[in-house]
Amino acid sequence: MSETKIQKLTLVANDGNKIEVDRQVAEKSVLIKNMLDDLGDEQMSTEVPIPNVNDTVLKKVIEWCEHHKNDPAAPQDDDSDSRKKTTDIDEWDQKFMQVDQEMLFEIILASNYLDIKPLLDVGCKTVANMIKGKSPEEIRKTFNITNDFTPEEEEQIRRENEWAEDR
Amino acid sequence: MVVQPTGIGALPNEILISILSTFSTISLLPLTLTSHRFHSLIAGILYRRLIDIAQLKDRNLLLECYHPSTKLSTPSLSCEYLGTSELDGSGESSEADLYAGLKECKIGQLGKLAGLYSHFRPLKPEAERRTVRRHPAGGSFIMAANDLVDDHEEYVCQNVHLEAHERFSQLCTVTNVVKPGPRGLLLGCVNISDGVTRVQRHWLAAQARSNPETMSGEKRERLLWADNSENVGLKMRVKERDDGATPILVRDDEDEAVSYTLQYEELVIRTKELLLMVEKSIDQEVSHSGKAIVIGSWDQ
Repeated sequence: MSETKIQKLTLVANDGNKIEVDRQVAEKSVLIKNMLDDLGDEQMSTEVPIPNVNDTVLKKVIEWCEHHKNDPAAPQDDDSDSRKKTTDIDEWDQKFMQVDQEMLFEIILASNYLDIKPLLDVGCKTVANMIKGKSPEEIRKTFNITNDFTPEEEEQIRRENEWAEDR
Repeated sequence: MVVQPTGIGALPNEILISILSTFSTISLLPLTLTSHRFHSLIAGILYRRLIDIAQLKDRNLLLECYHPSTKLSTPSLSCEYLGTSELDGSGESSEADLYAGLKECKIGQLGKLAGLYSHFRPLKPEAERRTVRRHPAGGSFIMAANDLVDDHEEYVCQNVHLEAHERFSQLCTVTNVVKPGPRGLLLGCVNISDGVTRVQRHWLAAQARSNPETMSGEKRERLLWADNSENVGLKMRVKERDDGATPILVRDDEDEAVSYTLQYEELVIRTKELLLMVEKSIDQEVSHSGKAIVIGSWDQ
């Protein structure tokens, strides 16, 4: 690898902490990649502020980008078949996602903001797996959601959501 | 900035939708009871799935409609998608209006979605596949191998005949969704319905008397349901047919032998049924994917 290829970038989290990363790692984020493409290489020395993400979450996201820096770019498959995609997550990512819920949602929001599609996918799959097989009551408990239905509304939905009753 | 723990509530709708979109319709439905937000997001997902499935992009809808005696000789008819709407609605409401109407109501979208029907037009079979044979004795009427007749430039037509002692005729209605593969092979086939309906003498008479152009409010009346749960129906015009065989002696209390031509205007299918069945077949496709390879090599 040539010296010019590996360049360092400094990311600044919203609490002011600076993190130095390889350009290749930072470019997992489409947001940063597009920014660099637009600004040109002369701007490489400047710091890149990431105002929406705090230090802990940014470190975590960078950890993921480091591990996946050599992954081939995901093919742009159409989203219409998203239902057929399995909710399987690779082992390393599963371990990576073993964090508390607050962190999990922070990672999802950060990857959405930074436009890191594969990380967003892993996050979404993790949440989907947490929902899978649970009753509405258990989901409310897991995610601390308040039941905002009146008993009448609940009764009506219960009647209407049985689409496959006669099978 | 207000510091509060980030929960599922902090996720924007589009992320929550992409999480929920990984679930099958059957497993999504119970989740509507979680909260208002889940309910309305899921209703949106299901609405899009219903509209999407009704268009049957890489699939074909085949209708077989026959008297039990002509089961083997009646060709299946492919159908053209016309639109999806509520059955008793004003008729001309577009899919966009439908969506706006759904968004307005806070609750009850699921019931509305379950009441959506997709309309299809059965297309005439290709000419070479039709088997019309002359009666060997050269009688006064054409003996066709099936009861389909070429009577209307647009609609598929079928004759029904009731003898004097018959109070009803039978009509088998089979609808399948098939996934066409290369070289005319079918990659998958989902049976949506398979039922026998009685076409009653009095119903035929009433339909033949009414003028289909003037009656718009009684849409439901013109439908002949192929099953008890009103999932699949045929909208048709009934025309009386004179085959010139008026009996000479008729007793007072005896019905006459009658002949009618049924013109199939539309095949109506409850959209949720279409969605549930097709999803079921996608599951099967996934689990049978090994078999598909075997069929491919056999074809060479």
